[in-house]
Formats: sequence, C-alpha cells, structure tokens
Amino acid sequence: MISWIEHRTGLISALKEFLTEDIPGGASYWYVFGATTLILFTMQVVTGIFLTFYYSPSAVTAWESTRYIYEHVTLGQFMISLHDWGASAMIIVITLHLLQVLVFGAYKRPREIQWVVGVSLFFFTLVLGFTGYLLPWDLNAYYATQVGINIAASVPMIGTYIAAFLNDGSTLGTLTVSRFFGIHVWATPALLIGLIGLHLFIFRHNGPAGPPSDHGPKTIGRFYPDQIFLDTLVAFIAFLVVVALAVYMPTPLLPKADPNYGGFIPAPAWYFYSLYGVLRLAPAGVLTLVATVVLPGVFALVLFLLPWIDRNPSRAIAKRGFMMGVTSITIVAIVGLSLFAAKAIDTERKASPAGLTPVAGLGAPRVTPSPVAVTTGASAPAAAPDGMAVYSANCASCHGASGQGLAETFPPLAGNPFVTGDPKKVIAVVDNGLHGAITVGGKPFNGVMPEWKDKLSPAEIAAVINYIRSSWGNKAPPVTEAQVKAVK
Amino acid sequence: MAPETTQPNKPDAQEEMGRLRFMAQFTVAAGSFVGLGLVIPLLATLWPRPELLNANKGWSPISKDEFDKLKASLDKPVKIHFTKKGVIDGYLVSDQDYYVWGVHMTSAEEAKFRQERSDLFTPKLLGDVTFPVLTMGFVLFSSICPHLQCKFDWDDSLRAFLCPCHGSQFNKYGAHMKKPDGSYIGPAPRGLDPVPFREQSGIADVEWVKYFANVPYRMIVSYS
Repeated sequence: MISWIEHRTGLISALKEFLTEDIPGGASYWYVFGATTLILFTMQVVTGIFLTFYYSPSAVTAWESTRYIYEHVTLGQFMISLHDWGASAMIIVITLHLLQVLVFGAYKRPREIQWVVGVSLFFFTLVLGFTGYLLPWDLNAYYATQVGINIAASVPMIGTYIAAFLNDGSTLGTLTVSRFFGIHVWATPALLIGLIGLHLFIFRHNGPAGPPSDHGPKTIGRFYPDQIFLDTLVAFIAFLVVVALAVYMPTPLLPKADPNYGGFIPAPAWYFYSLYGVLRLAPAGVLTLVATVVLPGVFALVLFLLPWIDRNPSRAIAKRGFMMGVTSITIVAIVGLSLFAAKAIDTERKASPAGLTPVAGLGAPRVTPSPVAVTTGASAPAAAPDGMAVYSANCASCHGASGQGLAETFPPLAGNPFVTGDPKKVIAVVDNGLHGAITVGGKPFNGVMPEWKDKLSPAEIAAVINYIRSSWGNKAPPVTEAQVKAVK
Repeated sequence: MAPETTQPNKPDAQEEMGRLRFMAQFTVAAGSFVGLGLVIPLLATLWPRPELLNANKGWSPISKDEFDKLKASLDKPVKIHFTKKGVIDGYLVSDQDYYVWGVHMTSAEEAKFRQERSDLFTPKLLGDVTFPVLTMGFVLFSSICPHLQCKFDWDDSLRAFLCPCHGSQFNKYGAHMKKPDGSYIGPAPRGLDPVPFREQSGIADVEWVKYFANVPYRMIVSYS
C-alpha cells in the first residue's frame, strides 16, 4: 500500500526527506518555539475560517453578527475566545522564537535572509492582531483602532494618506471594517503562508544553527523523532492552555461601537501596550511624533537589519556582551512601558467606566440572550430601551459599573434603600438631579447629580431605573414609562 | 544519430540558443506585463476616491428651539443638538444626531474671547482656522475633546468644561485652563475646537467638523 502510494505520488519519500534532518548538539526545548508558532498559526487559520461562516463585515452587521456568534452559534463563544486567546499565544510564542534566535546568534551569516523573512513574519502577525481587533466592532474595537489610525496619521507628509488608506475614506466606518476584514482574512494570511514556506525552505537549506558557540558541537541529534517529540509536547501544552483560557476566561464583547459615545477609555490589545505607553509618556508636539512614529520605526528597522548591524562574527553568548546588554535593556523597556500603560488604562477605566460592562463573554452580567434576529433599517419597530446600555452610557461613570459609587462624592446604588424605595422619589431624582450633602448607609456624600429629563426619554428613564432596581442584589418592583411621565 | 545531423550546421546551434533566449525573455516579459497589468489597477482600487474623503461636508440647520436656547445662553454654555441628514458611510446612508456646545457672549466677553483664544485669530504655519469663529457673539465648540476624542460636559460648580476621561478643563471660552502653578489641568494639547456657524435672516446653520486628535494644531479630518 505504502509503496503503491509512493510510486504514484512520491509523497512517502518526500516525508522521509522532510523528517530526516540533523540537529547539531541534539534536540532541545530551545528549538520548540518555531514549530509551536506554526501550530498556533494553523489553529488560528482553522478557527478563523469557522468564524467567517457567521461574521459579516459592515458597520450595521459586524457587532450584531459577532453577538450572534456568542449567543446563538453552538460553542460560538468558545470559538471566538479560542481565536482571541490563540492570537495572544501566537504573539507570545513568536516573540520567544525571535528572542531565542537573537540570543543564540542564529541570525548571523549565512542566515541573514532567513532572519529577515522571520522578522517579516513577526510584523505581519502584529498586522493580523491590529486588523482583527477592529472586527467585533464594539466600543473598544472602534476607539482603540481610532487611536491606532490617529498615530499612523501623525507620520509626517504621508500620514494623512496612510490614514485615508486605512480608513478607506476620512472616517472609521463601514468601509474600514470591510477593508480590515480583507487584510485580516485574506491578504495577510496568504502572505504569511508564503513567507512561512520560504522561511522553512531557507531553514532546510542552511540547516539548524545549533547551540550558541563558535565550535561545532560534537554530538548530532535527530529531528525525527527527538525534536518532533519536544515540539509536539510544547505545542500540545500551549493548546491546552489556550483551550482552558477560552473556556474559563471567554473574550468579552462590549456594547456596539458608537462614534458619539462619551467618556469611553479604549485599550489596545496587550501586545500594543508598550506602543501605547510611549504615546502616553510623550509630551505633546514634535516629541509625540518622535515617540509614536520615529522610535517604533527605528526599532523595526534595526530588527530587520540586525545581521548587518551586528558585525561581531562570534555566536558565543559570552563574547556578545554588548548585544546581550542591548537586548536586555530593550526587553526591560518594553515590559516597563507595557506595565505603565496597563496601569494608566486601569486607573482611567476605574475613573470613567462608561461602556465597559460586556454584553457577552467574561464579566457579562446577564445570561439571557438577545432575540435571534436583529431588526435593521426602516422595518425596525421602536425597541424598548436597554436599561443597562442607558446606565453604562450615562450613569456608570459616576456610580460605577456595578453601582458601587465613589467615596464621599457619588453614593452607591447597590444596596441603597433609597433606590429600591418609593419609585416616585427615585424618578424625581433622575429627572431633576440632586445637589448638596446626603447620607447613605451612614456615610456622607456630596456630589452633583445632573438633570436627566431633557437628555433621556421617559422610556429610557424607566428602563434605567428598572435596571438599577434589579441589579447588584437590588430587588424592587419595576416602574413604568407612565409612572415616569406622571412625575414632574 | 541526432548530434551528427546537427553538428555540421553550427549556425543552427546558435539559432537554437537565440530561440531559447527569446522564449525565456518573452515569458518573463509577458508574465511581468500580465502581473503588473493586474497589480497596478488592483492597488489603485484600494485608494479612496475624493468624494469619500470629502463626504458629508456641508451645513446642517439648527432648529428654532435650539437657536433660541443658544441666544439665551449668556450665563453658561448650552448643548445645541442638530441632525445631519443623509450621512454617508461607504454604501450606508443614515441621519446622524450630533451636538455642539454653544456660547453666547456679550461684546465685553467677545473681547475677552479674542484675547484668551488668540490662537484662533492668528495665522499659523500649520492648522489655521479658516472660518470666522465669532459670528454675532456666538461661538460653537465641537463636543469632542481635542485630547483623545472623548465627550466632555459643562460643570457648573467648576464653571468649566470638564472631560471625564483624562480630566482636562476648559473655561467658557474654550481655553485650556491652568493650575495656579501655571501648568495645564489635564493632558489636552490645545483649547476646544470651534466649528463653523452662520446665520442668515434668523436661520442658523452649523457645520459638523472633526479635527485631528492629540496635536497642538487644528486639521480637519472628516465631516461626519
């Protein structure tokens, strides 16, 4: 049977040829990152293909179809979370792969081109991350991409053209989603697959670099089965970790993107935190440009040209003190900037939590799914306002996403007897606002509650009061729109 | 057999070489022609057309009620709501609701405004405001914070516009406020952005413009 196939295809000898490869110095855990990246990438392709069966890229359907996947597709939330965590895992592992090659000096002659192709793969992976981030079209996707495009737009001379190209026009809108979809789903993966082929072809041409030493190792190991076993083991563990994260920490979906939304604090994907940290630290003006464009640009250029910049012929770590020093400082700087950005975003989000309560995924407060069909266009009946949406848009920035309030200024709504008490009084406070010192639960508060009667419709006021009277442990009978209208 | 027949005719071998070279060159040339012939127009399709870049430029009317609110706003700024009809987003068209902040000033305040917001009246290298900012004592500010495009609110107790995101404060004239030590309150890179406003025989219009965020100069990036 095997020889029958071999005669007609040559596949068996090709596989043997592929598996037969000497590993100088023997198989090692140091060499597993490339193969693990490839396996994670394959997983991303597969989960991505399944997501396209449901996802629809336009401003009126992107968020709705994503929510549909969460709520009405069998294991849909798991599939989305697997794709999201898989992306994070791929970025981590490809970075480890890059660092291993860097530390082992494996980018040096004759592997310069292989390194350049590898660095391209790294940056195209980041392109996948950036373009994929917009697709759910929730508040965070929208505003984080807005910041990203704003940064690109600040490149001198050509910035406005880059922004126009990314937006496909002057604003982030429906054409931007379909453009990012095309880049994320077709252009970049196709390019990536070609470059992976090239990367592997050159790898086989040069052979593995082996341990970081200037003398060839005495022992020779086998690729199959020794290294393949280690690769499989680590990739399997990575797979289990990603699955566990997807199950226990499903990716949250925030409320739909809204260009007129106030006070939302966007956060980029964690792997762009360092860039965001630079943006936040840089003073306004020309220095912003240096920080957001020049610095990352120089970083990318140095990474690409490293085999020609680092002229030190030795691969031994002990003889490459300068290179190791620069690498360590860069890692510390990137981690430090990321932590700084994480802290800044966290602080700001605590102060202004508007829009941060997810609709689905980790942290979503309710499990009742939305109706299957999403009404659009002229045939849409006037839907009842969503109390939670009204709350997160207007109230959460002071009273907190879970009604916890803010010490001395804004009273908590959770467990507040006034909130669950006389509906007329609650309606009156929402309608007309409240000034001056009050006491809730024995603690003093003195803030300003604005008037809402001109800003929200009676239906919205009823919806939000029902939301606060039935959330965070509060249990009080609902109020009706008619009751709201009756209170002046 | 075959070599014997070709050997006497050396010119034939040369001809064969020439033929091979021609075929190779033709393949490369035809391939490049087809490839570039496809790639160049395909890349061109990615470039947004001018009508997309300048889509939605134009005035929107302010209703009589809203205009009356603006006229009566001498003590503090008011939100002026308006609807922009037929806002184009690619192949989608919809009506969009916007609001701007309106300030009505006395002539004494107008002088103060010109002084505090001198940046809006002096020509600059980059980011000139090319429309009249003050029209009949009215100034309209975009509702978007010039820092990172959050929506800010008027805080009566502070007598200032306060952005909830990063705490930038602006006075009634839209000037970025300072602490007693001279440093700015909040990270905004410039004062509030004016938007075009006009009035003709009692009918008021506003133009919704969006400026480039987080830079000290003003550059219009879109009209929706």
